[in-house]
Amino acid sequence: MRQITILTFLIMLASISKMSGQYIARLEVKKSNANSETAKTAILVSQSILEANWTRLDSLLDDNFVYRGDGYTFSKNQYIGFMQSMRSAFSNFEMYLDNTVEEGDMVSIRFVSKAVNTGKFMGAPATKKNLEVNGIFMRKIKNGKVMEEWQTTDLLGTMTQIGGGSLFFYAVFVGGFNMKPKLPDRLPNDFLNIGGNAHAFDKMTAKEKKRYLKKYRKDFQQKRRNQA
Amino acid sequence: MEKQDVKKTALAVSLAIMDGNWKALDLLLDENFTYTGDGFIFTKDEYIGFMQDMKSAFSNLKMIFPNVLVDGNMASVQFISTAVNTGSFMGAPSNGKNLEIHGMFMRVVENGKVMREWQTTDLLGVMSQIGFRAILGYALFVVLFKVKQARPKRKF
Repeated sequence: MRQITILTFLIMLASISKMSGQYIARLEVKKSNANSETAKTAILVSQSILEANWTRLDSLLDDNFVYRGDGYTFSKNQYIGFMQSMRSAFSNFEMYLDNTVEEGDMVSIRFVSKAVNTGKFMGAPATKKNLEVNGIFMRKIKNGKVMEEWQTTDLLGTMTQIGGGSLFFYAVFVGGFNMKPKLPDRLPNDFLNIGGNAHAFDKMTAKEKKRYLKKYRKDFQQKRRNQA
Repeated sequence: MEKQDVKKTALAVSLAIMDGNWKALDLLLDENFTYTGDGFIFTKDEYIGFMQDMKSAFSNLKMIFPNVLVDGNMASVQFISTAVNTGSFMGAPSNGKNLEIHGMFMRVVENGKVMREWQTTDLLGVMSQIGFRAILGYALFVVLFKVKQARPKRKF
């Protein structure tokens, strides 16, 4: 076991590459016939995540919202917490919505996301690699709120891009010991928002982001303890 | 094409795979058919070859489609497949386990033929069900040693 852990650490260390410059996250809707309110609501969820606009994301999801994807089932707060964790771990976010299929109260979108992994995510340390993540989701919408979401992401392809180390970690800890990564807590709506939006956070270096996240989480835990 | 025809053609591809009806599958796919999914890009013959490998590695294959959306010439389908892994597949040996595979695909249908398909499958979930040795094997050979999976070959 010790040998595997050391080997994994060395592989991850070797896989670290230089990070490119930072810029604001952007979303592009391609080849879309998505002009209805239903499709617009579905797309706005992705846009809110990209913009780290947690207040708007909260207003778009029904209180009984359920997410089912890639082996997880999330409630509304778990979903927002997961997206907050994901958004903080990746920089230079670009999301392309390549195909939109809409029928009744359901919208399905095929997406390609591109980002640089600059922070810890789902238990795996940052690799600073450029990643391309492919996936398809379906969102069910009623009265302007998203009620349900199903998603499959090419996680295996993503882990392959991250490097063998992440697959090793997954195989040993999740597969071997049946350990599930801890579900992230939902953080307040100002998370990643400095001066009202995420622009300042996006412009930070990886080191500055790490410092911001550490301080934010520490302050949040302190506030929580004070309230209890 | 009518909405019902797009839906029927898109689902007929899955039914042909489930039945191992390669002749029907051949007729449903356009000659220039392209598949993009889970890190692979396949031509028509490679796609059929991949499905033949998959069908021979799994017994009692069943598929359900909880959500099917059709818009213009595109169908987006959520599927859940159940099967028993009785043969070697993608380099992993068989384990006799019952597997539940979740995924989604989009198919473009024109003049009764499927022109394109994109798919994402919860492959990580599948590997977790097969066992951690499968992931460890994948990490070692495919990722670390850069061993490429052989391109699937159409058998007949």
